[in-house]
Amino acid sequence: MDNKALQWLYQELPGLINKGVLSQTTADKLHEYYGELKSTDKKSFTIIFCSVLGASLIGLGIILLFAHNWEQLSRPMRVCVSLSPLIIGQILAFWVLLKHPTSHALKESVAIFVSLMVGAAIALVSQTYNISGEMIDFILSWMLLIVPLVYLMEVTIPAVIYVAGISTWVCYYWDVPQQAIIFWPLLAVIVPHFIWSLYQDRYDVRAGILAVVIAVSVCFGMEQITLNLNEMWHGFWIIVYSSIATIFYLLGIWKFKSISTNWQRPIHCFGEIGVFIMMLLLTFRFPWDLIQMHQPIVGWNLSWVSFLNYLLTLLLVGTAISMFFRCVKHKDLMSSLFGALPVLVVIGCGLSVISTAIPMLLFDIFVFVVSTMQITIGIRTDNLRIVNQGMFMLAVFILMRFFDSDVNFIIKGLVFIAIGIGFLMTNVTIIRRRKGVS
Amino acid sequence: MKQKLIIGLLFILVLLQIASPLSMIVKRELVLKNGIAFRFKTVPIDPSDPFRGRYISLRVEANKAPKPQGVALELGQKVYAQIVVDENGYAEISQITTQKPKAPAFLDAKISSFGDGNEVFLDLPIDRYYMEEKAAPQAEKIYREHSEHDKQDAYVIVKVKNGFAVVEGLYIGGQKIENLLLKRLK
Repeated sequence: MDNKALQWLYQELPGLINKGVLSQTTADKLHEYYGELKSTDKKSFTIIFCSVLGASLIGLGIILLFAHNWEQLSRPMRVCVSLSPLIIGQILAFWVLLKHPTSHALKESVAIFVSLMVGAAIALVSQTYNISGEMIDFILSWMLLIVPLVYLMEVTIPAVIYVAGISTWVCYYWDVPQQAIIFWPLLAVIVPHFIWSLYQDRYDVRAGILAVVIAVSVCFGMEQITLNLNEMWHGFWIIVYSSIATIFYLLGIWKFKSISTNWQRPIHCFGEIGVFIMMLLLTFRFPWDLIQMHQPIVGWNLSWVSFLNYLLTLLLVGTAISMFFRCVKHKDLMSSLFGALPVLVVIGCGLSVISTAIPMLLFDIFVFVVSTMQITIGIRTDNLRIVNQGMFMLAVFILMRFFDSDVNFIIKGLVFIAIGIGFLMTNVTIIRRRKGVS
Repeated sequence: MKQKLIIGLLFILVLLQIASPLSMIVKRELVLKNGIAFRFKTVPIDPSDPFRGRYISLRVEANKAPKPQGVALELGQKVYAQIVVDENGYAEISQITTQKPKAPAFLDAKISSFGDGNEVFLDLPIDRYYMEEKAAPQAEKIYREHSEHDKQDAYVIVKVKNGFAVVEGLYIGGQKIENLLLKRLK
């Protein structure tokens, strides 16, 4: 259970016992079941945050000092200067592992410092000897030299630096699929650590940051696949991004079920926003026109990279659809609705051959159904957040349709006002109803 | 036991992290000590790199060679560029081969493009010269002044060994750029 929720429960227990709602034995059993509160949670977060910030600033400051280029220094002197901060960081890493192996703050900050100093050392050597080559090759060797730290020191922020680094690297090779495909094994290197950090504490902020960075990074990686495969058929990006967003959304729901705050389940939020954006985009004509305008090139691209890309796409779509069917099987209405996106995309692609208006209409209905269902479920469960989410979706959808059409400004203005009043009235009604109940 | 293993592995990683910049240093120091020096005529401009600071981007004039007969070449292919010295003392590429030459004066290069005629353009490992933050723009200014007077006398001294090149210094009008800047400041 989340520490915050547990704290609330333990605060409530004495009152509940006094009022006779719970017996002392039940309260004791609850205590025994949930265990002790992690009392230093907030304090340790602040310490970790300050240490991470401090180490990052010092490390980046040293990189900037090196970048100034101290011409007065002789070559041997520059070699000493470039290696000494790295060696100091490494000595600190040994010290932390031997003397303070349980201090997250120390481990994170020292690992960040070593990570940045590896980059600084390579940068200063490159500068001293005028080494040719693009920044991007330098970034890859840097990232490969720091990634073992993640496992040896059990640290998360260097993992974030690594994922950000390889994402920058893959963006540079957007037009070289043979290079870009290496991104996936590079990303896979960090997955065991990510799973481990979720097992440690799935609601930890650091695991959350890593989750978001990995999610964004996956999108960057998929961009290379869609760019490669779009040459064959222009519908790939629709299928790929719908599937990614759905997988993130459903993964987030299943694995972070017991929490109610959004910031503690970032993958779910990321997926939800993604599904919403894809739904809305597909109500427009241009994605479907794009598919129709560019018919598949005769003969499929059968290079080994394209073959791997086809395979990844297939795996992605297969996973998304099987997750959707699992939701249907479990009769999880809301998840099934959001999870239906890739299935509808595949149907839409098929229907677009007849006319582009059909898939547009299909997605108009889809957005309408999802948003109204959200409002209904929210009202039924008395959950203001879900009601507002549904209303927000519906409002954006209506406003977009209005801007898209030739309706005059007076009507557009009135619709704006009506939606605003609708928002306020629903919220007021629900809050009043809650007060009435209490 | 587990901690011992982690410390052991960290020790290996630490060695790798140090070995990476150290091997870069040793390799280049050996070339600077034992390599053959060549003068490459250049056209400098001044960009910057967020990690490594300001540098002068060098475009080597001798970046092309005649296309070898009977050899199929493709873009990005690694080739060996053989260096000769012209009558003015500047280096130029006499020919490219796909087999490592026996003569010591050659550079590892990649094919960047094919010219209209019988020419092949090369990516040579001589593309930057790092300078102090404020010095780099001034160095570019000096270069421009020199080119205005039709002098065009900028060149780099490059030490070459086993196809590997290390830029030793950038010269304008026969003087090292750093010395020229110092004189200007006085």
